[in-house]
Formats: sequence, C-alpha cells, structure tokens
Amino acid sequence: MTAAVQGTPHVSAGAAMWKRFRRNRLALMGLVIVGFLMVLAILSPMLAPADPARQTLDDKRMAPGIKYKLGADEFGRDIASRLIYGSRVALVVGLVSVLIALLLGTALGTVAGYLGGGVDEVVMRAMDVLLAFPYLLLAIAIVSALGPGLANTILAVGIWATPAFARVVRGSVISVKEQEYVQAARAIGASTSRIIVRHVLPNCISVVVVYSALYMASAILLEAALSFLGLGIQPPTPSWGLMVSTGRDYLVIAPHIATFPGLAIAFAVLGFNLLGDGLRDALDPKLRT
Amino acid sequence: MTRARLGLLAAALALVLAAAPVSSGPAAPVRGGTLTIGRPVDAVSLDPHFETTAPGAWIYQMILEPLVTMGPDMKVRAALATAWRVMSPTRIRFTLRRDVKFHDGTPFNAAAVKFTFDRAFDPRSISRWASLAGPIKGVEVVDDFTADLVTTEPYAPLLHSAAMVFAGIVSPTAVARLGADFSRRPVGTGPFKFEEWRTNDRITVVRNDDYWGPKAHLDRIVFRVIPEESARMIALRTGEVDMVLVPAPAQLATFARDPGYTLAQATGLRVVFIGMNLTRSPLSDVRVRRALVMASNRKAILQNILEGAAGPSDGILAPGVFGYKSLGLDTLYPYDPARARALIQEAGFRPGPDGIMQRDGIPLTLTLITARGRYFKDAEIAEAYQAQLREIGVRLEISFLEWATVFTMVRAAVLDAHMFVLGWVTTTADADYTLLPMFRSDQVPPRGWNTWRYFNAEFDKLVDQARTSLSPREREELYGRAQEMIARDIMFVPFYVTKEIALMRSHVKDFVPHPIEYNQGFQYVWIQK
Repeated sequence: MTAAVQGTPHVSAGAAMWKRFRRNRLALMGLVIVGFLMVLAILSPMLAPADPARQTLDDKRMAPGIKYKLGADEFGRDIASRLIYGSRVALVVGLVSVLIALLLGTALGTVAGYLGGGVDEVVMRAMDVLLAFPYLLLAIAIVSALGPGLANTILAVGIWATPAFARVVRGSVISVKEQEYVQAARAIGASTSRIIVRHVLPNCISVVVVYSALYMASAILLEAALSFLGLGIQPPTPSWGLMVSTGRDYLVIAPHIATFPGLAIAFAVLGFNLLGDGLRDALDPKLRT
Repeated sequence: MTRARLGLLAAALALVLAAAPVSSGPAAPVRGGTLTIGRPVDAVSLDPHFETTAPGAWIYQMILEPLVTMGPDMKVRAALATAWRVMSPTRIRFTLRRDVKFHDGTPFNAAAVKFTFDRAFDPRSISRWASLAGPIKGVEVVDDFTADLVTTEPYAPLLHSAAMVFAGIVSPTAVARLGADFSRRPVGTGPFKFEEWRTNDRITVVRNDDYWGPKAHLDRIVFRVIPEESARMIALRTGEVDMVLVPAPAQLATFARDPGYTLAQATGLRVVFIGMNLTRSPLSDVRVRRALVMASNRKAILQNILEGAAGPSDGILAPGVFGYKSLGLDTLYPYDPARARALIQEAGFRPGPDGIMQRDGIPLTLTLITARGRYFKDAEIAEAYQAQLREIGVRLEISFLEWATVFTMVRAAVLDAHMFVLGWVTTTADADYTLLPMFRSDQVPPRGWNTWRYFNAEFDKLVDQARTSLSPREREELYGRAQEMIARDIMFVPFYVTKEIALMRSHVKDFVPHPIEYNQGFQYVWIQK
C-alpha cells in the first residue's frame, strides 16, 4: 500500500491522505460521530426539546417515554436535553484544553528538542514530574488548588495533557534537526526562529494532529471523571460526568438516569479515538501497526 | 388512666413516634461481635469542647457520660449522678456515683465534674458547647461525691443543659496528659472506650469491661465514613456494614419490605433550612428575604426529594420542643413565584436580558454553601432551590464543600456567603436552646450561632425574659412573641424536620432510635449469631 501511494506522485499530500483516510471505515465512523457531536453542540438550543436546567420535581425519575424521550432525572429534568447541552461542555473542555496542551506542549517540546543540553534537561525533567502523577491525581490537585468550575477544569485538563505533547514534539524536533536540509538552512545563515518555524515545526504537524484527536477523547473522559467526583463542572450546568455521578444514586430504581450519559461519554470517546487512529494511519502510513 | 397520665403519654408519643426499640424477639442478647456503621461524614472532633454536631457526638456520647442523660422518651435519667435536687432557682445539687473510674483509671468524683465545667466555661477559652448551655457559672464541690451546678441567673431549662451529650465528664488527668490531642482521643467513663481514629475513614470504639453500669454487648463499634449515598447502600447490601445512618430515601421502601433489614426511626427535633446572611446585600432587605421564601416550593421538595424520610417544618423549632409556635409560613409567604418576582422588583430590581434580575446593571446572584450528605438530601435541596430561584430571576451559585469547611465558614466572624444549608437540633427540647444562641444580638459567631447576624433589641429582651422566668405559661407566651418576630423578619427557609432513621441488617438487635440524633442508642445493641 505504501508503494502504491508513493507510486502516484501527481497526487498532493493532502489528497493522498484523504484517500487513505476514506478507505478506513472505522476512521470514517469516527469522523461521523465527531461531526454529529459538533452539530449537537452548536445547535443545542434548537435541538433540545426542553430547558436543560428546568426542574419538574413531580416528574422525578420518570422512565423514558412520550413526555421525556430519554426519561427524566432525579429532579424531573429532561435527560435528552441535558445530554444535548452536555455535548457543549464535553467539546468545549476537550477542544480548549487540548489547544492549551498543544500550544504549551509544542512550545516546550520544540525549545527542549532544538536547543538540547541543559534547557532540554530542565524542561523534560519538569515534564517527567508531571507525567509521574497518576493522571486523575494531577487533575484533582490542580482543581483543588484553583477551585472547581468550567474554566479551572479546562486548565487542569490542559496542564495534564501538556507533557505528552511536549515529549512527542521534542522527539520529532530532535529527529528533524540533524537532517541535511535543516543543516543546509543553518549553513546559509537562517535564524534559529526561522529554522524552527519554517523547517522543523511543519514536520511535527502530523504527529500533533493525531495526538490532538486522541487526547480529545482522554480530555472528555477526564472532564467526566472530575465532574463525577464533584470537582469539575458545577450544577446546574449539564455535564455528562456529573449526570452519571448523581444518577448512580438511583441505579437500582431508575437506571436510565446514569445509563444514558454514560453511553454518551462512551460514544464521544469512541468517536475521537477512531478519528485519531484513522488520522494516524492516514498521515503517517509507516506508523501503521 | 388519669387525664394527666393520658396527656403525658400523648406528649411522649408525639415526641417519640415509633421510637420503640427494634423488636429483639424472644432471644436474649448475645455478647460479642463488631457493629460496623456506615455514615456520610467524619467527626470534626471527639471532644464537645470543639464539636457540638452529630458526627462527633454520635461517638463521644458512648465515651463521655454526663451527670444525667435524656432518654428516648425525652425524660431526664440518672447517669453519673444518682440523684439531683433543685436547691434554688440558680442551683441544682447532684449526688454522684461512688463506683466509677475513667478509662485511664482516674477515679470519678466531684473534682472531675468541676474540672469539666471549668474547662468548658473558662472565659479565656470558651468551649463550643458552653454557648449552648445557658448562663452556667460553674460547679461547686460540696464534698467528694456531691457537686452543685450553679447559674448566674435563674435558668429554667438548667437540668436539660446538664443532660446534653455535650456535658460529658472528661478525665482530668487525660486532658492534662494529652493536651490538644484529647480531642482526638477522648477519655471518659462510658460503656465504650476510644480505640482508633483514621481521619475520613473510620473511628473505632471498644467495650469498656470495667463499666459501672450494665456492660455493652458488642466488642467493638466501627463508624465508617462512606460519603456516597449509593455506596453506603451497597455496603449494607453486601454486608460490609451492618447499619447505615442517613440512608437513601428513594430506597427506603424497598428495604423496609425486605425481611433481611430493619428500619428504625424516630421523629427528630432537627430542622434543616437554608439560612440567609443579613449582612450581605440585598439580603438586608426584608422584601428580598420574603421573596426568597415565596420562591421556594417546599412542599414539592418534601414530597419528591425527601420522599417521606422527613416531615414538614414551619419554623426554626420542631414541633415537640417546648415553646414551639408555628410561624405560619405557608400563610405569610406561600409558594408564589409571581408575588416573589413582584417583591424583588419592589426592592429595585428589574429583569435583565438573560431573565436574571438586576439592579444598577448588577445581576442578582447569590452564593450558597452546603455540604453533601451532612443532612438528608442537603445538596439536592440546594439544587432544587437553585432551580426554583431561577424561576423568579435569581441566580444561585452553589459551592459544595466538605462539612468541616462549611462548619468552619459558618462559625467564622465574617460569613463569606449569602446563604448556607444548616440543620439545628433543639438538644434540650426547650426553645431557649435555639432562640437565644441563634438569634440574640450578642450571639454572632464565633461566640454563638447567630449566623444570619440578626440584631433586634426587642427580641433580645423577650428571650432574656423567657430564660429567667420560671412560669412555663409565661415562657411559652414570650417564645411565641419571639417567633412572631422571626416570622416577620424571616431569615431562613425551613425545608424539613428530620426523622432519625437508621437502616440495619436484621441481625442487629435492640437499636433504640432517639429523637435527638446525637443520642442514638448504639450502646446496648447486640448482634444475633
């Protein structure tokens, strides 16, 4: 397959990538799931049948049916509407925190990888310290220090994901910086910043893109975990993790309350994982296992 | 049966609904075994000097014994004192037991009683419970086994103060030896001795084999902290715990039908409410406070969130407390979102573009602090109230905190929140216990419990008068007037009166629920083999 792709030189890199991606059914499925979630998040007010925070206490724990398609929760809120609005929280936390990790991680990884020596040691040992924490523990520590809420949850998830990006970017930078074309650029007097921006970073894009998609899944999961523990999103904002958390008190008598948000989390994580895997295969066929 | 006795019986029944001991069957108690109890929160301290709330009291009541105690029938019984006599309106003389030793071997005597009260009422370090005990001056030693409890002024409910769980007698040598550590390793005379405290995990007490009275049947009682309601219920199902305090209301019906479990309950004396901080704008405006009561659909919350695990409340006192008067909140401030909105607008607020009321461009946002699981459904009530306030255009921001944090915050000189979820038990079953420390102008924390910062000289006069009057009828009338003032100036939304509920596996026998949650009767429980 690799040979086939290399054998069609007139196809641009992007088109070749899309061609490889398209052939991967699982990847397409991931793309569809992610696209679906995006639509849900953007059009929440139009798609949600009810106000997600409105309580009708008398309808508490009502089973799925005509009045509430996916049932009502312990406060008589419409679970379907809360799931739809919850997609906003999941995606916003995922996107923004991954963006934070991407920017911070890329900057740190590039500096460490390109400059090497003492700078590399200091930066990467600091990243190792962060990596040494069990993932939930680090996020809990950050949120405990900053207080719960949307912004701090995003920050915690972002900081948690930074070392992974720093490491992978540093790796590619190191492998690229000794290449002949980089040495050539240096020989003709290109500045360090120009070399990094024009010659080194473009080589990291594919790996960063793949990592971003995969980390979106982890970020959504971590947000759900934090909210589940009461440290993330605060009520009445609908967060899937929070919904599972409160619904679990009623698992025996009204299992639908925790089940649907649980499925939503699984669905979103699956979508981003498939997309990430697909992107990896498409962008860098040599990585394919 | 005479009319007087009937009246007494009725009163006792009203107080102790269903407080009969759990049926023990024909079997006689068996010695031995460990009772493991799952409860939502850990103790703040095991010393009434520092903690006067149930999580600590549940445990230290078995270690530290007062001179007299309050039975599940709400009558005063002998404990470390065998007899008592009212000598004058300011003095009660107690005759003490002669056969008692503290767990550390120190002999119990009048000096220990004096030491306990001196420690609590030392003006340099007033203890937590001193603020709740009335105008107690101290204890005077008459002889080795006779002690007088003396007040600075006539104080009607004095014997009830001595019977509070907080008035447990401490070992003077242990306090001297352990210092501040005493609050984590209390030493008293009770049927159980302290063994171990692993913070936020478990507290263990073991039987005192040298106890002066009938010895406990159990070898050991373990109080485990299981914050999650569902986890607590699962622990009960799997047998990891034998008993659950604060069980899940939604599951009570299922367990009650199951012969493998026993449900014990007594109508409690605790009112759980959302309090308002009058020093914070706009809660200083009574119109806003009234609107906040009218916005609350208390009936729907009682029906759908408490689900029968609590009763309705109409005031800061529970019915059954001496001096209780219904505040008539359902008539004064009935659930009426439209009128609530109108009152908020009267106070100068206008609906903003997002539907939230605002004044001078500042949205009407209130902050509320609550624990999760300290009281039955505390966090859920806060969330339901949040949605109800939203209907009248008030945004409520809730901080769900650990109980110890909430406790510390409401006990601080400055309260950094508009509202708070709190529960209050009138431990002596006398209105003085609540109306004075919670509402008198000089009782602002850290001294007392005037957490709303209510300042009303007229009110102060009423409770002072009621405290010293020895005529029950006059006291009742004065407390009635005081409660009318509270209703007029309203500073809390009461949500329910507790039922003290414990759910246990049916091999747990002779648990006696107590209307005062501090006094739950774990002492003579036994486990059927």
